[in-house]
Order: sequence, then C-alpha cells, then structure tokens
Amino acid sequence: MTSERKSVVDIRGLRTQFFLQEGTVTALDGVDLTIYENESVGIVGETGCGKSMTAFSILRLVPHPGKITAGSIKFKGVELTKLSSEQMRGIRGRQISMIFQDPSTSLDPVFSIGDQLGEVISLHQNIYDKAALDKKIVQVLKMVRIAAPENVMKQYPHELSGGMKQRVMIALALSCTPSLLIADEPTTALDVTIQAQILNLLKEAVRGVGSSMMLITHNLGVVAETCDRVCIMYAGRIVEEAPTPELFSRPLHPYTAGLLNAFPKLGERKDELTVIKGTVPNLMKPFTGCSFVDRCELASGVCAKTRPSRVEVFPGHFVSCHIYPGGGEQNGVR
Amino acid sequence: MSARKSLNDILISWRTSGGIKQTIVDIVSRSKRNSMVVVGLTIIIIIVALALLAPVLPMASPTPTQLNPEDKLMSVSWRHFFGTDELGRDVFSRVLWGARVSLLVATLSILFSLMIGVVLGLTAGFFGGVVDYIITGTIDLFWTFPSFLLALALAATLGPSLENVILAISISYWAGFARLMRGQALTTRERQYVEASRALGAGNLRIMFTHVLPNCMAPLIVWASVGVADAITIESSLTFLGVGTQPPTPSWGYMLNRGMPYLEEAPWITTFPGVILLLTILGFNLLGDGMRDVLDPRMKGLRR
Repeated sequence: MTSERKSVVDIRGLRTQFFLQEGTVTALDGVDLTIYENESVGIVGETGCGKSMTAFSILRLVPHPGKITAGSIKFKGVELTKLSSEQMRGIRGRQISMIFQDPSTSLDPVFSIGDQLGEVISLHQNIYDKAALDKKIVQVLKMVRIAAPENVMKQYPHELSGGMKQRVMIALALSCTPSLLIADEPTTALDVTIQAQILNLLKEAVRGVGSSMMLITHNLGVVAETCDRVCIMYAGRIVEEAPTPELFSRPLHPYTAGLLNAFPKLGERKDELTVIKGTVPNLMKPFTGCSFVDRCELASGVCAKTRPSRVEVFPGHFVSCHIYPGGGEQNGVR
Repeated sequence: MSARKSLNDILISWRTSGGIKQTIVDIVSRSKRNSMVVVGLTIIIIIVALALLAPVLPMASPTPTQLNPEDKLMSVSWRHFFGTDELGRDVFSRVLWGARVSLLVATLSILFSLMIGVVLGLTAGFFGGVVDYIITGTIDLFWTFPSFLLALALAATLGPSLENVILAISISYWAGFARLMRGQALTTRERQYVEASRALGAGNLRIMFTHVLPNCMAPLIVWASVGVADAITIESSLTFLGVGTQPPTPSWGYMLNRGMPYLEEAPWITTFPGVILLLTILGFNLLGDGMRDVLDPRMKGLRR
C-alpha cells in the first residue's frame, strides 16, 4: 500500500555530525525516513536522540559546527543537500515550514501578529496590496480558529496567551500551504488542556491545506492521537517504524517496548514506575554494533559487534534489531 | 539580483507594517508619565525652539557690523537680558545663535556616528567569524582613545571649521554605538524568532533589518540621546580650545573662552552660556535616562 503512494520527503542514510574541539559528535547516524503525501508521521525519542536534528537537516539549518556529512534528502524528487542556499530559502516557508516548541519566543516581540503574518505572506506569495494582504491574514487566522482575527491582527505577541501564540505560529507555518510541516514538540510548552486543542487544530489544519506533517515529540500519547505512522529514534538512528496502532499493540524493538512499559496505565496500581535502566550513550564514540546494546536486556554478543539492519517484520512495520530473523545478516551500513 | 530582491523585501515590509506606528503611540503614552522624560524634553524643546526662532526674534544681532564701545561689559538689564560682552555684543542673542551651532553639530555628528555604528555593529554581531573579528578590532582601536582626545587631535589636524568638527566628533564617537549594536545583535540573533523566520524562508538582510535591528532600538535611542549631550560638550570644549567653530560664528565654547578674563568684572559673559550649556546637557541626559525606563520591556505591562 505504502509503495504506491507518492513520497514528499525521502531521506536515505542521512548522517549529520558536529565537529567540536573535543571530538566529533554523530547526531544522526544513517537515518532512513520516508513521509508520504497527506500523512502525519511522529518522530519519538528521548532528548538528544536526534529528532530535532532530523528536522533541521531537512531544512538545511543545522547550527554551526554541525554538517550533513552523508546521505540524501529528496523532497518531491529534488535533492535538498545539493541546492544552493538561495534555492533553499525559496523552499523554506513555502514548501517546508516548521513550528517550534516554545511559541512565546518564536514570535518577534516588536511586531504585531498581522505584520508578522503579512511579512511571510508577502515574501512568498508576492501579495503587496495592503487590503489583499489583510484579507489573506484574516483568512489564515480564521483557519486556526482564532476568534476576532481583525483584533488579534493588531495585537502584539505579549498580549496573547501561549495557546493563542501557538495558533498564530501554526497560521504562520501554514499560510503558504507548504507540502510538509515540521512540528517540533508543538505542545510541550503549553498546559495540558490546551495541548489537546492545539493537536486537533494542527491535525485539521494540516489536512485542510493538504500537507504532510512530521511531528516531533517525546510524548507517545501525542503521537497516538495525531499520527498515522510512528518512528522511534534512539541515539541518532531510527530503530523502529510502524503504523501507529500496530506500534502500540505490537512493539518489536526492546527500546520501544521499554518506552511503552514506562507509561503508567490508568487504573493500574504501581508503587514504582518502570524505567529503562542506564542513560543515552555518548554520541562522541562511534558504535560498531547496536546503539542500544548497553541498556538492552536481550543483548547478546552479536549486538555489540555488528549494526542491525532494517527488516520488515510485518507489512509496513520495520525494525532494526538482531533478535528478529534477518536483522543481523547484513553487515551494517558502516 | 539577490541583494536587490532582499532590499526590496525590506522596503515592502516597512511599507506594510502598521506596527511601528502603534509602537510609537505606546512609547509616547508611557513617556508622558515619566517625569524625567517630561522635564528633559521640556528643556530641550524650549532651547530648540529659541534656537530655531533666533533669526525672527526682535533682538540685537549676535555679530553686529557696527560696534559701539559704550555698550561693552554692560550688566543684565531690560535691554540686554544677559548683558553685553567685551565688544558690546548682546550675550542673550549670542547664546541663542550659539545654540543653533551646538545643536546642529551635536545632532549631525551623533546621526553620522549612529549610522556608522549601527551598520558595522550589526554586521559584526550578526555574521560573527572573521567579519566580526575585523570589525571588533577596528572598534577596539577607536575605543582605546578617549573620544575627546581623538576628536581634539582630529579637529586640530583637519583645521578648524564647522564641517571638520562634525567629522571629528563622528569619527571619535561611532565606536560606542558599534559596540552596543554588536552586543545587542549577538544576543538577538540567537532568539528563536530569528530562527523561526529563517525556517520560514527569510534571508540574512531581511532578518538583520526587520528582526534584529528593531529589537535593538531601545538601547540605541537611549545612547543616542545621551550621546547628543556628550557631543555638545565635545563641541563646546573644542571651540573653547580654539579648534572648533571659528569666530565670528557665535558659539558657547568660544564665549566661555573669551569671557574668562572678565570673570570678576563681568561674570554674565561666561555664566549665561555656561548655564544654558549645562541645561541643554542636563535635558538630553534626563531624556536619555527617562527613555531607558520607558523603553524597558519589563515596564511594558504598566501601560494603559
């Protein structure tokens, strides 16, 4: 089924490294990820596992000592890693947009909401007429369910609540109907009651403009509500990828299973929460084998030696782990 | 092509933004409640108005073609509010005409140093790396000289004239603005809204001038205001030392210089220009200090 659909982004063997004085940090180590049209994909993982770096790599905005050192990112057939920075600027905002974690710092405090929306719209759609621009701004604000858009337009970021600001950010990101929206933990900075509203709005708005979404989060609950497929990331690699219901009912990778176990369930009495023992490995040291080997309860000798390759265990359900047949046959990418 | 497109973008976004107007309205409404701004601005407005009206006010010429020896060193009277000097010229008239020179020199030189400082500081802070290294080096080179000494040396080398005084003050004063701007740009470029607008497809020039610069305006306005006071002091000092504007152009510094020998005999010759000089500087300093409070973002909640 998935093979017939047209892909929006197709990432193959992406490696992003940071060259620091103390050594080289491999933030992304061979990421394979495909996002199809009209699909929401969740990227889940712990802090520092490379979720955000995947997003920044797609936009080619990896911060300074970092560089994309290998792999390809194809966006609707165009190789993004080979574009000039001028061409890339035309893609950002128009074709691929991003929403950031904290809406209160993502809006420029000295300009009104209308001005900031107007800037993006006039920049990408060449609408310069004030009346036409205002009409478009109101329309975009209505799309994100802002009551009285004519008033909000004239307000400044500090006059809005966190939820309102995130709505404005969504409006900003979707104002030019991009093909891909990257949402980097869009609800983390909001309180729980607003989170659900924003997620629903995001889902609806993305569907409304016919975009695909890449939702980055560390919250599996968020993914369950919003995404069609989930990718679990660990230490710069995608360890498991599956349709959302499938992943929750049948987690294959020991790390995914650990994550799901760590979730306390409603109605269940627990004196102590289950945790995955150990911490995220140092990304400065290259792994020869599986990156999860030190924390895995099922690890065997082969896990430390060879890197597991990606196998399709069930249709559409991929995992990189030696415990599944075929997982260790290929001798790693490295 | 790309640079032209970006410049065009900036013009467009300035044209389409109604926010600047709103911001100004907010600043004005908050300034009204700040007594330092009110007092400072009142002093400045009175002095500027008197200076502008000097040619039409019914008073004696500051540089009379015919001097009457009987008029010299006359004390304060209804005919001469501030008395007359050693050549019999009306001190009040000369103080007002002197204000024109001082204010013109101060505003122009601060405007020029502001322009140099903002462009260089913004470029250095925003781009960083080698560009920053070179510009910061240049700033430090200028910064190591006390600005008055540098202005004195420049004015003395260039020769005394109004234009050269402006040039000398601009060259000796821009480094402060550049340092301030660089520091502000360094912190502002790390803000998430800068990253967000980059992710939405904005280019360097656009980000520099529509997101970084407007967010750094507050300290620049404060500095510029205090800078005008500084520039007035430097201009008067240069003229006092004889390397500034030249006679017969009336100037506060020159009046102070010429009045010195008569300090006991006719103190009004030096007192009045001195007091007005002090008031002007006080006015600009009060304005600057008050503006710092008004523009402080933490005070924003107190409006309305």
